[in-house]
Amino acid sequence: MSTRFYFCEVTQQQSETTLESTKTQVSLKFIRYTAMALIVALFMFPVYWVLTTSLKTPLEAFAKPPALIFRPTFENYQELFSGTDFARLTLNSIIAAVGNTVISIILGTTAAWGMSRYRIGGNWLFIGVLSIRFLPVTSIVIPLFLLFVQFRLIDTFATLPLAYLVFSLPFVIWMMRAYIDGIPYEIEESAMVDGASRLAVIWRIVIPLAAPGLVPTIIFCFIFAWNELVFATVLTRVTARTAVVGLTAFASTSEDAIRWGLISAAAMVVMSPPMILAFLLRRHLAGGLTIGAIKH
Amino acid sequence: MAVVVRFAARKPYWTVVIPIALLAVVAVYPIIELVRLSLHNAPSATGGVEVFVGLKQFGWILESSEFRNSLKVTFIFIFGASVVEIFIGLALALLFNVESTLARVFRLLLVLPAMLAPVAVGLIWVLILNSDFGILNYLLGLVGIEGQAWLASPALAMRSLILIDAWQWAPFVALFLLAGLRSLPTEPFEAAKVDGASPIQIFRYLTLPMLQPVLAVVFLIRVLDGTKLFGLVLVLTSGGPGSSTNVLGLEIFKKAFEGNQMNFAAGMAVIQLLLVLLFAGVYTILFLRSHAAAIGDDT
Repeated sequence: MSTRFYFCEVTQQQSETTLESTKTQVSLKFIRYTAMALIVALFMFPVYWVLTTSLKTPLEAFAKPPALIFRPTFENYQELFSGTDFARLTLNSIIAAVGNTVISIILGTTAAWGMSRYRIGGNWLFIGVLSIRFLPVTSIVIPLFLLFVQFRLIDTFATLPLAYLVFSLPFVIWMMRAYIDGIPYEIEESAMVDGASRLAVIWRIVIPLAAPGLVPTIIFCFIFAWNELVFATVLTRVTARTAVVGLTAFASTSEDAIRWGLISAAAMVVMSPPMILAFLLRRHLAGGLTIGAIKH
Repeated sequence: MAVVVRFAARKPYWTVVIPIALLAVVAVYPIIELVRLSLHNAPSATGGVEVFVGLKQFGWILESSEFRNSLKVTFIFIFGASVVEIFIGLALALLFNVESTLARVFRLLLVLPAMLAPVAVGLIWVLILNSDFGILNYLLGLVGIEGQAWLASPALAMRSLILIDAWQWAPFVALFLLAGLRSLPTEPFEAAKVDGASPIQIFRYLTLPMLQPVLAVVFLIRVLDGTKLFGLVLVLTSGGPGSSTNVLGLEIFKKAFEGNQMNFAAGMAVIQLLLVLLFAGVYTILFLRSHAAAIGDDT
């Protein structure tokens, strides 16, 4: 009891002597957080503006001065999904992104396991695979287009999942090899002693243990494929066309200013999945974006 | 012992066979084919066979004023955007370098633009910068500044493009630099404070020199990314007005898929590839030297 009382006294004394400096510290902190909030608001404003434009009637979207207060309407989204074929393009985007993610996660994680546990190909194979990610899309798309024409693979549902492997496979191998390196291998070893096959070891032991690394890898894979433009423009025509390409087509007809609400709605559809998924990534953002930034 | 032997006995090469085979088809073969294309010319419209032209192709490319212009425009963009992004990114990193839940939420919101498709980013800014009904010119009008044709004037288009790229990527640069700031040893900073150094002195003589390797790495990341610019500029200006924002990626695309000059475009693509290779090499060297692997820090 006495000890606690003694401590209380000391802190009280201290707080009195340092009251002035605490005050300045508090106000400095206040200024800093205000500045941070203002900058975040400034950076978020364009996204906010598109969101509100997508909720305006054509008249309001085109109003001068811009309508700051308005009654939100979902008209644009209704027209987008029933009046245009954007719903189909969105579905195509999902097919392409999910298809590519599934293939590259299964193949990439297996390869990453082999390259981590058995050092298959050593560092050379790893660097070789990773360097593929540096390739500029605008370069690789020319020969890839001619190749896909030969194999009659233009504008099918397999086209983009296959084409995106150029970037997603090296990404998955890079992420998962680093992650598997950090998992102790004794568990796998004892499972193998008990007679488990390697495939069973990967499926039953490695995948569950690597789940914390696997989740951000899956999300990034999906986002990269969802956002991709060049391959989707060149390698698809009608059947497998994606939402991002549809959005670009809207932009080229932007003379038709009356449709700004509609265009904004389409932009929101394209922007929402990555923004929502970003919240699931949190602390993996910087690392994943680094390898993502050196992509196309 | 037996365990170790069994674990390492036969390497399971099957784990890498399919991925390597796929990458050989979709990445390695295309590079070889690209180089082959660049050394040939297409058969004439009436038919015939491909003509081997060798390095003459690159002579024609280097003589082409469109190519030279696109190279110049690309370099202006790369260095303009990278420098702007480093400055803004550094300022943001210093400001947002505090530990609290609110600060973490702020940082997450700030980096959201980096997740967006370049096409969507382009459209957002087309909407905001429109000279007639865009919100920016309206707001400027309120404070008495005359509105500008941000994307339609040759003098402004490149600057707008650079600032839009900075909007998308400066927060990412900040996040990267923040991880670098946190990995610096604390002792020199404490010693400097004890010695009575001012915050500006500490920044100038401690933070900046110690952060220099990380700055170099993130600069190179932006240079590398800038070399490949395509989607953003396609939507914003499609290379115009005139050809003032016609970057290399766009020029290659136009020649290949609109101008139907596959071989000429392949040659330009080889040059783009070499540029990326050069920057990637410098990047790898810098990265290995800086130990900047401490990325992936909490946001």
